[in-house]
Amino acid sequence: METAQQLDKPSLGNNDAAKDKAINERDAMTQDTPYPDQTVGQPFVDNPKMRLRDVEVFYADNQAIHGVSLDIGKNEVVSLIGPSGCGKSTFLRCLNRMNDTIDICRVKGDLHLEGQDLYDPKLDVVELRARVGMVFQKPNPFPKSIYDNVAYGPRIHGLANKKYDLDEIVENSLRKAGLWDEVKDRLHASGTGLSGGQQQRLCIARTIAVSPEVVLMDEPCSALDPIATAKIEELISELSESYTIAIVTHSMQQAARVSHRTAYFHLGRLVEMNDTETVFTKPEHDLTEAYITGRFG
Amino acid sequence: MSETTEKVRKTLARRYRAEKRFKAFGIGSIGIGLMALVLLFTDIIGKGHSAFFEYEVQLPITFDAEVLDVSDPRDEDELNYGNYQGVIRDALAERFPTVEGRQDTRALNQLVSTGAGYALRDMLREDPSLLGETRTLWLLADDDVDLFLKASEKQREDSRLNTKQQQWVAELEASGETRMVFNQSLFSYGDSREPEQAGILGAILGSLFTMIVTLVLSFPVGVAAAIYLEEFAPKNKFTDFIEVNINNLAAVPSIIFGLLGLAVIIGLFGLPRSVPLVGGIVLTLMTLPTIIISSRAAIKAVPPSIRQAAMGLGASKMQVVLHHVLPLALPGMLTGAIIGMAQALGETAPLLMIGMVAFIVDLPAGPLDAATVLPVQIYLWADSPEQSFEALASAAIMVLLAFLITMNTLAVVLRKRLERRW
Amino acid sequence: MQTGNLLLLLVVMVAGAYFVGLRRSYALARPLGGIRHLHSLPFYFAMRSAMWCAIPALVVLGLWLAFDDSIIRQQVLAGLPAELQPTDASSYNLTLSKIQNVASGALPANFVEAPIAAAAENLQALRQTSAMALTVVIIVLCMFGGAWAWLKVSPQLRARQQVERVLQTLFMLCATVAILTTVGIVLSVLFESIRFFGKVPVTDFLFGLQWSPQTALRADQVASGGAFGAVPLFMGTMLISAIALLVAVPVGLMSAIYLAEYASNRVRTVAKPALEVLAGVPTVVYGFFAALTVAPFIRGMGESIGLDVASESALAAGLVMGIMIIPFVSSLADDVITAVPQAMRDGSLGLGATKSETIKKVIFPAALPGIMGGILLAASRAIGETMIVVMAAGLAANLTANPLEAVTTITVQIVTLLTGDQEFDSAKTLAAFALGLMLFITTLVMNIFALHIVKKYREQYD
Repeated sequence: METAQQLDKPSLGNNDAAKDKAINERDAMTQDTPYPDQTVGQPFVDNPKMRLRDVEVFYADNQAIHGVSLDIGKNEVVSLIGPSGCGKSTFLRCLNRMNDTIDICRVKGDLHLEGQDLYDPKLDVVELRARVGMVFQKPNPFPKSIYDNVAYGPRIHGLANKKYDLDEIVENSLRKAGLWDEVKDRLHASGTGLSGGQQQRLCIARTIAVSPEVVLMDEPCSALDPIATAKIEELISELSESYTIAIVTHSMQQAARVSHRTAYFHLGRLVEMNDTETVFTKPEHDLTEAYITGRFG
Repeated sequence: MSETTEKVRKTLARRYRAEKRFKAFGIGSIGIGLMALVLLFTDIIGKGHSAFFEYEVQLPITFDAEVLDVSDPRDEDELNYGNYQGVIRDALAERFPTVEGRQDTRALNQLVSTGAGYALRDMLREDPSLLGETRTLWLLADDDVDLFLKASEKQREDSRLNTKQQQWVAELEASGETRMVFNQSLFSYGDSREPEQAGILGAILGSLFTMIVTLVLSFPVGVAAAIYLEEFAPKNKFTDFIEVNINNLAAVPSIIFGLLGLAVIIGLFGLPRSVPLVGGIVLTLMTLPTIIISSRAAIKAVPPSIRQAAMGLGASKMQVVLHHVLPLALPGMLTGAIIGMAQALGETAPLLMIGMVAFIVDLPAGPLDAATVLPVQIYLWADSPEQSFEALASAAIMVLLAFLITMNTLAVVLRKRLERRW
Repeated sequence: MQTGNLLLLLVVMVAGAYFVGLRRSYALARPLGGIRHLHSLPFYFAMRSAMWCAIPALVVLGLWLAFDDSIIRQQVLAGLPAELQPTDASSYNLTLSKIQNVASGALPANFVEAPIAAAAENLQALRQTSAMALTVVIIVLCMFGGAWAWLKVSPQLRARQQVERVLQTLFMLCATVAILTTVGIVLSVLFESIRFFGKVPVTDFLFGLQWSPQTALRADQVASGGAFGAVPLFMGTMLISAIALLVAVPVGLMSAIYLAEYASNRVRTVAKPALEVLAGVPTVVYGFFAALTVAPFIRGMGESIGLDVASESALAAGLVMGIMIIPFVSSLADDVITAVPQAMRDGSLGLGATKSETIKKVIFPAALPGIMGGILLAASRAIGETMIVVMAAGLAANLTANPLEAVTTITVQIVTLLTGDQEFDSAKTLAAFALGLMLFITTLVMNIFALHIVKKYREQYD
């Protein structure tokens, strides 16, 4: 799809620049730090929701992800951190096959959602995305009313038979997203008229209206102010009771606040993965330490 | 398996059918567009290809001084008033000695084009010694004979030739006294009432003069206007008004420009009707918006760093524009101009308004001679009742399209070769 | 002197002024120690004197040529004896052409009344005088301009600024051509329309149901008075445009969607330019196709199923016009669709919507204002399209909504009324301008409205 490429190219370009910067820094670092061939820490858990092994992603001839293996546990919040261009967003987009929309992107490896191979040719991507929802970096409400934004998913998937059911789903989702009280009097106003933070919560409500099993969040707070960010973080903690969440974030504080486990990515490789507390207090790898102490990023 | 998954799965078959249907609509739409294109071209080529050839009939012609009433072929007056039809009539009578009666004789004489006489005159002028000699010559056939010979067995039943004429022509055809040659008159004459003598050279020349006027007027004015709007114009109501005008003029129906030409250029300024000069002015006004818009895009594409560099050396604004911006933007402007010219070349309606629709036999020699243009010629022929003109119109369309394709290809090549990416 | 020769003379004199200016500036610079002691480069001094020489002369030349003919005509006619004075428009034209023919030698002088022959001689003489006077005036103006420029040259003269200011003014004048064109269009159709509405009431024109513009050519001729009710024309135009849009909008829109959202790069690089070829085909070719291929085909089809189809049916013209507009709609729709941000698509696909659901329920509603603007532009183009309908639609002003019957349109009537030999002032020719006014107003309103919508739409996503 041409539009996808066009819109994606600039971000790839930016990544390249960031990559160059990161490579220079790595060259400076590798003199005293060994580059990891294997992930340190404990990337795997028992009975995971998503089991991901040897994931590799290519953009045309450029390899963006090198052999990443990790598990995402049930009802767990996993945060993916790392410097810009380290591949964490690319990795996240493999988990509900959003990378399919980019022509030149190829994914290899074993990716399973509760025993279901994500890249099985027989698997239906529509069904998969209903199970694994996604919230994007920039709030992207449809230019429709708040109600229609939330009702969109249930409508296309035929989740509600009656208007009454749909109303209930919309209300529940908005309540869960902590937006109900703010918008209940103007459900039929345009979703694009909300503030940035409200828009993002609307997008979260839209995602959970389909009752997915896993919610992927790609830097959901990067476009928001601190107050709106705090609200979203609160929301993530509440949602983790009923959903499995994988969140890409730039902010280490955010990762520390919301997640149970944290994975540190560096130049397309998974360097370290462990309990959030361990990662931030006793990082095993020098690269992780360098990152969380702010030596680069 | 969750409840959601179950529900989603139930809808999948229906949703994928809808997806397929939607995609099929898309493919169908493109199919319709492409099919229309193919139909259009095959139809026109199918109708027009035969007009590039014409049939000739072989006859032994005797340049009899008495019949011709020409005593000295060097005398231009005598030569011009010579009775060439008489010679042809005699030749036909000799070839078909059994034909008798006024009606039949006249039918027989209709087999050869009236234009053949002029060919004989030209021959005699070239070589005066032909007087009194007999030569076996190929003469241009009448358009009905031409159609009959080009037609298939089945189509021949609808021929406008009567039964006897059909027999005579069939006899000539069987004995090899007919032949098909390249239709030279198509490219060497102006319009004519007789299809076999009609050509598009007059229309091509008319188009050429019109296009020259259009190019000479619209390119400098368009470029100057674009430079002013992009580089000098202050941001104010007046400039906005100019912009609104340009955008709207680009969408005004072309026939309105014809009305303008008729009322102002012919009515008020008193320029003559039917001449390429007026046509060129009208088409200039019509293509100006296109040229201004594309020229502005080309100027916009020149990076500000170039302007700043020149300005930093102390060049005045005008020097920056004329020495740096304009040369860099010129390829883009030229591309726009060619595309604008291609539009103007195919335009018909406004030229009908200013009288370029007259029947003109003579070849125009300049932009002040009455002329017609290629698209108008097509319109005139398409409207003519005689069937041969239909083929001629198609042939003229093929020539017009060939010009347009060349121009557009040129524009594409120019853009690829000359345009710089910053 | 002939205008062509005069122009040539002018060029020579301007070139002369250029070189004199150049030499003068060098001569001026030499005692000062080189051209860097001049305010401007010698080139600018030379350009300045060339401009002084050329511009006044060109302005006078232009005005003279624009108006001398009509002034001379007035003079000649005023000189005619009272009994030969033209009383109305048609005799005015007749007398005038008679005089002109005699003057040009096309008509022997002894064929016409003596006063006419005298007038012809008068015309000749006046023309010669005018040409002579013009030549003298131009030469004098050039000389004076050049001399003035020469006298004013000094090392401090800001020649560059002056030249640049003149150039910039020239550029501005070029930009105002767009305004002048619009004004010219408005005035020309408006004036003639007002004259038309002086003969035929506006209400009759706008609401009358009868259109038969055959008025008497001469006063003594017996003919119907002519009816100028334009409703059948408006209806016919709308009928054919509606058919065209019914073809072009779905096909163009779906093609654009398919090419933008589904097609592989290979398909796109072939199909897109191929569709654009349709846009480059001249309208007269479509007219030919409609009149000689499509119309007979539809007629044949209709006959084979027992329908009575007019040989110049609205359907044939509308279908072909629709084909012509397909690329127009599709390229506008393509612009609009690709302007919808990728984030919208991601949002919808991320929820598990299929591609067509995303297009139908998210992209299409988001792009709707832009698409409406595009359709409006396409409609305005259909209304103003001329050649297809002139060749394939009829002349009969039927008031019908049946696409199998012949209808006529505004543009067809403009062409029919104005081609062929008419005098300029009859209600018939003036009616064409009134129709032109209607056409201009309609398309102008539609265009402004559509461009406004599209602009607003684009700003939304910028």
